[in-house]
Amino acid sequence: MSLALDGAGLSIDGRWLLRGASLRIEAGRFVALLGPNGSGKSTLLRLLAGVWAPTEGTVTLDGEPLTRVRRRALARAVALVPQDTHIAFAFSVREVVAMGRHAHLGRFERERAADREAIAEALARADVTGIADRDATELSGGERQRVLIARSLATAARHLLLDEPTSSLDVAHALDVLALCRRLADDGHAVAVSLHDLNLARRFATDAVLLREGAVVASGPIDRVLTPAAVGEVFDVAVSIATPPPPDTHAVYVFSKR
Amino acid sequence: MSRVARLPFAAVLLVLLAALILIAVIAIGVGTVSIPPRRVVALLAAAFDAPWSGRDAEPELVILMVIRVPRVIVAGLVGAALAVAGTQMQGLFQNPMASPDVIGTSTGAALGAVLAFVLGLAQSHVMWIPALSCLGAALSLAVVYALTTRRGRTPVAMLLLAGVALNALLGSLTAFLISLSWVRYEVAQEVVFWLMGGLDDRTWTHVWLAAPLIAIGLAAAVALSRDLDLFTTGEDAAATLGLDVERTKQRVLAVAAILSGAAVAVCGVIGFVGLIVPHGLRLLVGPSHRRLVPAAAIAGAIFVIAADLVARTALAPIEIRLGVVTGLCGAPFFLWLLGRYRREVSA
Repeated sequence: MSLALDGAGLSIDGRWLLRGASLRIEAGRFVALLGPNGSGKSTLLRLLAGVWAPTEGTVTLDGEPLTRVRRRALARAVALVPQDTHIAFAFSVREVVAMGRHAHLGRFERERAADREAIAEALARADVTGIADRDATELSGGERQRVLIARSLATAARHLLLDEPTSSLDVAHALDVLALCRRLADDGHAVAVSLHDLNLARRFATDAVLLREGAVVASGPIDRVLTPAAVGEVFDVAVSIATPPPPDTHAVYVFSKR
Repeated sequence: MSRVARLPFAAVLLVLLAALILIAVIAIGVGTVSIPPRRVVALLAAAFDAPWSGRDAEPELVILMVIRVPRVIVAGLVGAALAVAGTQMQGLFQNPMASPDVIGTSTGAALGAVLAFVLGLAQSHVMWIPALSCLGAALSLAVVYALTTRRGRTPVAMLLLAGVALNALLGSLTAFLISLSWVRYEVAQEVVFWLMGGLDDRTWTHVWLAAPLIAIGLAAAVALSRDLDLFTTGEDAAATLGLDVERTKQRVLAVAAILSGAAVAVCGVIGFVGLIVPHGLRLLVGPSHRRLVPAAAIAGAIFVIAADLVARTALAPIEIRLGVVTGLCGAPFFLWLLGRYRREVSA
């Protein structure tokens, strides 16, 4: 079970959003995608999810190019939570999560016991069972992210991709969402999340990928990738990383533009 | 923080169906010759074996089967078609203010019909208006789609803008044709009347013309229900949930064009049905299209049958144009909707 980019890139109207990216998303790992705005994080996630087909290189699921994987099979294997999801109509939370079963159901099929179980379990794991009957248009940002993660879980996909899930959240809700991502990785999911907050990334992720100007600059275990030199290089800032009390937390200090 | 409270769907459907039957029986009975509901039911039951044309036919039965019943059936079909076309557009654009007219198909259909009048075809055979209407709807959809599709992708924002432009263009062409034919007073009058929408002199021909198209459109809308639900969290999310987003858009557009084209073909332009019925029903049964589509179809039928009843009885013997009645009911509702929407936006 693996999802991999191999020399993958995407060009739109002659402009490369991502070039020659190679990366493997593995079970049990939480990969943080880090880099400045426009460095290719969202593009990378969309290529992994099969939303866009790569202009160069390949994206493979278990060795099979995504272009040859059936759309519904892919939906059952890989789930993407896009950035800033707006819910237009007053679906209930449960109805939104139930949409995760789309690729498991025929056009005229009704939800069966197995589907209902999957939905209930997804609600429970994302800790949104208590708000299952609420109007999904009235959720707070943190609740909405957890509901969308629950929907990803309902698809039974083992690869979870989240595009800046914490971008509009306050600190407490951001912690909630990332702790959930980490739990899911520990439970055997392969998780890839694009993030802006380096400290949160350092705190929750197991691995990191640094991107700059559409290219992967470094990837690997986060303690080896997230060095002051690398972060300084990618973001063009002066950085130091310290390990203050309490133990096992690492703070990334960004103190000036270079 | 509101919980989502929904009425039981089966109960809502039953009530709507009962209301549909009731309003149909009343509408069939009311007119210059009034027939009480009981008698209507008895006559309809008898209609299967008694003749309803010719010398031996009972006069009341003739009125019923030749004039009233086809008119009510066309009203019901048109109402269902417009309401469901509206749900498709609102679902696709993720906007409760969208209506079947937004992408220009209704205006295209209207232009086709006006052409039939101006070229004198409408007077030669009853089928020319519906035929050119359907052609107009199909062509305008093809133009909008071709203009907005690049590399197999059709952004809905572009669809909306192209629809606005095409509506303006086709509307101007229609006005141009009317102004050309103004010297032929009776043609101009017919065109203007037709553009206001109406169900006068609708016959079984119109029923048999509209019924298959509308049946196909409604069935396809039901089949697309779950797909359309997925649009609510955006196209990328829908794609990763296993939906072929672009193909679904094509299907939804085709369904909406067939439904609104068929409706315009048999009764002219009637506004607001496709806007207010889906919106109102969404408040009752929720936004899930598996419930919304059937409920909106029945409610749309009820709305247009009732509006037509008002149109022909309120100022009898003068008949108000149907489009005028739906507009008079619909526009205030739309304004109320705007107020609600503004509060949501500012909140």
